[in-house]
Amino acid sequence: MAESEEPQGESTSGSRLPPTQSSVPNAPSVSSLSTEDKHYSDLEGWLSKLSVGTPLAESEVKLLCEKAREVLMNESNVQPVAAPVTVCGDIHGQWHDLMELYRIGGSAPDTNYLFMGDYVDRGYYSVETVTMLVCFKVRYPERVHILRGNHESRQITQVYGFYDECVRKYGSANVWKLFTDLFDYFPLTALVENHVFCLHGGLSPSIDTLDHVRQLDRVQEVPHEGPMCDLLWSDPDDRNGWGISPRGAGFTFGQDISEQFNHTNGLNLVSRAHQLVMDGYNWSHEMNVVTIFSAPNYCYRCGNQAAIMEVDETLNKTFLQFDPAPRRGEPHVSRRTPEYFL
Amino acid sequence: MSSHQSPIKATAHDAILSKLSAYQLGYYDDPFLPYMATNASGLTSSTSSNGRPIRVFERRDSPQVNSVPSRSSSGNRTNNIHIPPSPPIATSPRLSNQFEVESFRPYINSERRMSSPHIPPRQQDIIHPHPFSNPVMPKRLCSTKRQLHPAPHIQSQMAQKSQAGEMHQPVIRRGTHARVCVMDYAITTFLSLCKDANEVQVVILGSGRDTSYLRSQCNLLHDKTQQEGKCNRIKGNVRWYEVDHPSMIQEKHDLLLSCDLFDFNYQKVMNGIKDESYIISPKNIRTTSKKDEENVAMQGDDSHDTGFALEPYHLIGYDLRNAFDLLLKNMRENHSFSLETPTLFVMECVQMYLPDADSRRMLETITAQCHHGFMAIFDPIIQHDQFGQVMAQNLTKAKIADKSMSLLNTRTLKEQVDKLKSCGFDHVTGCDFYSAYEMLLTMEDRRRANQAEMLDEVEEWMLIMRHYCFLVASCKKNSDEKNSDSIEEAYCSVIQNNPFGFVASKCLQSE
Repeated sequence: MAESEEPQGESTSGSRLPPTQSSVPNAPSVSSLSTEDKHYSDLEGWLSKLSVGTPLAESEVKLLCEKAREVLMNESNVQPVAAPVTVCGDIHGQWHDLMELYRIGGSAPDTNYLFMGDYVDRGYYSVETVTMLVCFKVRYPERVHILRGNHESRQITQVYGFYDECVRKYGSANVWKLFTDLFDYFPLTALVENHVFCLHGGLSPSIDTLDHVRQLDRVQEVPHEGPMCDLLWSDPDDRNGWGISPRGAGFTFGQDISEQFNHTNGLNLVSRAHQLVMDGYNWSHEMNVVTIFSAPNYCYRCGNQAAIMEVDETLNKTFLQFDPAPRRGEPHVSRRTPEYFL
Repeated sequence: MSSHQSPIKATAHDAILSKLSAYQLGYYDDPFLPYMATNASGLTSSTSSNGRPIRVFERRDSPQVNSVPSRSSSGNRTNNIHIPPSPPIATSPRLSNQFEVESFRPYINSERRMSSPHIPPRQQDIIHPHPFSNPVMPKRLCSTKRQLHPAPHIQSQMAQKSQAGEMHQPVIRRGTHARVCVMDYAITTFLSLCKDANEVQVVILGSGRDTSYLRSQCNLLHDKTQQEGKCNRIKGNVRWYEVDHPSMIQEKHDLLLSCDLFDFNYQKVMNGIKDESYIISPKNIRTTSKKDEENVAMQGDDSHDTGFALEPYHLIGYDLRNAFDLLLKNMRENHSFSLETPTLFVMECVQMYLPDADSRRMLETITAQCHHGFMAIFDPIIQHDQFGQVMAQNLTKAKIADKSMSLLNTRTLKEQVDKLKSCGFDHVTGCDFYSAYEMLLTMEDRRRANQAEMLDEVEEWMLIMRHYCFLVASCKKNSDEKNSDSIEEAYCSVIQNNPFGFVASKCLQSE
């Protein structure tokens, strides 16, 4: 079973991701040139492996996570992001579809990306997916932004698959430990040109202003309750006010809440992910909130389209929808049948 | 009549494995599941040679048993059985005014924690315009500590688990639990309505490794008709039948032999060359293995004293794609089946696999021959949307579905209801399974599920549940009686205080 799930060589998708040698003005400054060269050659080497679906070795993951921690720890809880940027929702280990996303949205660093969390769990390629995104983040720290989702957590990943996948692919939980320790540093939210507030889940009754978010101590496991938990777990709802979330964490928030929050903070949109929406994106609260979901045919079962949102310099939004990537050679690969009640 | 040699793809294993998984997480009690799941190997998961070792978070050093032991040696197997402790049941009051929200909430019950250090005082005020009069914060993720806060030694067992076989997904466990509850209600409601009948019959078609009979004898069926814990039926008046492909019946018989919770005598009946059947005379049913009885006694005896004569049980090997009247004839001749007796036929993910024409003939035979026929069905309704298309593709690719099957021919709730009606049932009521969950599951059953584990995948769960349905139908052969109030009518009723708890606006009825 596990064997059939291993990434198949996808040379076409790989070639779409140029191991670019372009200069990176925003790369972290490194004192020694040779160290810098090593830094980039490592990253380019890893990216070219990952772009054909080959997981990194455990030692490489360790090195990558150390580099990523340096970058991420300096980011804000409300990380400022410049437009244009392409905003993406849940990926959930659907690595082939992430490759399709790059095909649709353009490859990094030609396109700037903001991913709103949930890179792992559910899909069969969480390791490849999260490694690749972290690698892009470290390689192009000003052009790629990765936020924390509720699945970037030690607890959730033990239930929903990332833990098991790491153990299966690496023979131990070490890689899971490296990544979940790194997740603690992921920023919680991002702010595109001071107007589009991006986060994984939604609003919190404990948070009125972006400064409240900035004050949070985020470097910790996602708590079971409180503002940090809510940002990663809440959902918009048709009912006004705050409601109890059916997920058991976070809250539901109504249009009155979204309008007030946007007004208070001078925002024109809350952009979030977290919920499966069949068209890949869904406006709600009279365009105060948009949901973006970027895992097509989620869990290989749901039949939904995926979408990404391009935000241009004038903050115009364009949605690009896409379907599951054609799996090269799939007729020869019997992927595990998704679960149903049988 | 079609002639078929091969059994329908054995998804019976998938059913038992997902039930085992739900049981292991504490969704419900079924001490027979670990036995009945022995050697199960389904489409999406499998147990090892002995089904029992895959108890989550419990290390087992039990010897692997590769073949079903003879009756005399079955006692040796008791060392594998561990009955899980019942999970604590939440005691806090439900939110009384929000049915819709209450109906689906993984965690509700811890007292509200108003003083989060993160919340400045004035922020807390914001919470007050809460839609609920007496707001109760959701119990947080920590509700299942064993699940979400595994201790180091448990983590190593989780690693072991992942090597042993894939666990089912929480969405599947939660839906499976709902399925078990609702199908149990279908049986217990029928038995309750027939409590004055001298005898009744329950026929589980395509029974696979189903444990309904065993649980029924120990009061372990989910029962909405119970009042103050007392079962609302007179025990001992039921004849139980399980019908499945002869190869499955043989397997079931062997599993029963290996189950040390169940002592019985049996008589083999041959119908033709291959179709073996068994008449089982139960002697004793326990809910704890002999080996564990000492422990149980120390903790307080939770074994179920059935308090009534154990009911007879028939295992009948028959390919349901063959003529159904021959099956009924055989059951009458060899298994004391009576066409006059009120009879409930249960099909749980069975109709979907039958060729549409065969399933119609089966239903028509029931309505033509049974004087008081009742039907309870759990079946997919894949519809024509994106989810349904992917489901059809996936099941076709897995060689479970083909074009002739009911699955692909009866695709909507309306088509299901119309099919039953056109096959002669007088009363038919159906609903999608998300509605069934909302309407029918008792607070207790829902709370138990909420306690068992959290569910993050709300939208996906609703999506799947809306692609399955629950159907009940009934018919009365003697037309003279048709106008009188009858249990047939009551079984499918959606008017107020109906026995299932159907809500008319969420159901589809014939006529």
